[in-house]
Amino acid sequence: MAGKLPKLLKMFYKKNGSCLKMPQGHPDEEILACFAQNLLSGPESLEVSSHLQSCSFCAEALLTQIRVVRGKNYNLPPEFRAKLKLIADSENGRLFEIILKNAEKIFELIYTNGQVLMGQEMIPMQGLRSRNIRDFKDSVLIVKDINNIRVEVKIDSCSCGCFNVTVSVRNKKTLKLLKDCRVSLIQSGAELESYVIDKTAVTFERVLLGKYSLEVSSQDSGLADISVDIKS
Amino acid sequence: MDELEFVRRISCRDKNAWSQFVDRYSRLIYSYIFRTSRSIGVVFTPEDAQDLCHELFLLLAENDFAKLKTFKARNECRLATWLRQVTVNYVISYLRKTKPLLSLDEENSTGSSLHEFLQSNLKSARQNLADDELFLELKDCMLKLDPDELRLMELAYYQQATSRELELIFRLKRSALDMRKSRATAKLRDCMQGKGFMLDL
Repeated sequence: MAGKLPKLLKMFYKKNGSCLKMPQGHPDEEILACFAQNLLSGPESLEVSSHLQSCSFCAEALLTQIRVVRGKNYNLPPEFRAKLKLIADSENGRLFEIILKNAEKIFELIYTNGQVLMGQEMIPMQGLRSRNIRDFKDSVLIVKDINNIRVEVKIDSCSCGCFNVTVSVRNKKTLKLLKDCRVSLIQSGAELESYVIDKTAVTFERVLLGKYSLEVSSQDSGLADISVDIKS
Repeated sequence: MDELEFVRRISCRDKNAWSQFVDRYSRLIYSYIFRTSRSIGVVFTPEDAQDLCHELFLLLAENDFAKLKTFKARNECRLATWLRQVTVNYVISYLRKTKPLLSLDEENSTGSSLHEFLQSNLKSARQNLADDELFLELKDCMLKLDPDELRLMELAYYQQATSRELELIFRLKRSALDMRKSRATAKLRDCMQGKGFMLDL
């Protein structure tokens, strides 16, 4: 019968979580990392110690950091590392990527850093994967917030094996459609088509399979860079 | 090169510096995503880990590298150390959003469910209270502990911190912590006994 209380306490916490009230404000990552390595001054260290005793979020973050210091290292695929290097080129995370596989009017979503609109819900790539959703019939609508705007890209399958790409832009806060934005379809550095959004959206029709860039710009500056790669 | 200067070069859009940053730290961040998730009991696929890694690099770069610029190298903190903590926080926060709630029938790490535990060990309590009520009574007793004692129980049993980790957080010697812990468990035992539960320590 010994050890019943500790076991019960573990189960209690697993079910109920913390009993403590979360304090306001948290030390940033740098302070936490320095605390773990005893790099803080005495008073600062005591302040963090006091916070950690009453903040389960920060305590978990610190303890996890300490626990995973030693462990296996994992190598990144070289092509993935190359992709990470492109992030800086996309200026402030302006790059909106969509990779699809098209087969018999079914789209298989290979990758996107946007979110897929399903009904009223926006679902990120990981959410789709955990729900085992990959395929989309006839069309897929993907959304990404970039700085102050929300870019929506709808891709529809055509009977001829090509596809239509529709781009619209909204104000992120008010969700009002933005007009007077220019959207250009570019392949291998050459501009194929370019239109100004005068009503609600710009549609590029009967686009063939392949890799394209879509540049969205206002009169003053570039707003978003969309990369669409549709494989067969 | 000075790490603050390195961060400054990246935030000034020096492509070469960003490329070096990816070369130096992407493996560390990717490995920490795997290690953190495993330590929490979640096994990521390489695709999941790559998605998170990509999002984390985007987070560092977005809004003119605002997140990366919060690194100030205070107290001689190294960039790698800071990135490790950023990664751990990011993964925990992601898993917190996606982690399902515990079911009473779910098997715990020892292979037994709460139902089994209650049925096999707490017969007198089972007659009086349903599972949730038991926890309510326990919570009531815990909230009667001194704040210092409750914080210690929380870290010991919720975060499952080891004695060494508790020493680090509390900045106290192990003997002092042991004394505080035994005082708290005795109080809990007495309180629960008063409610009709016989809990041996």
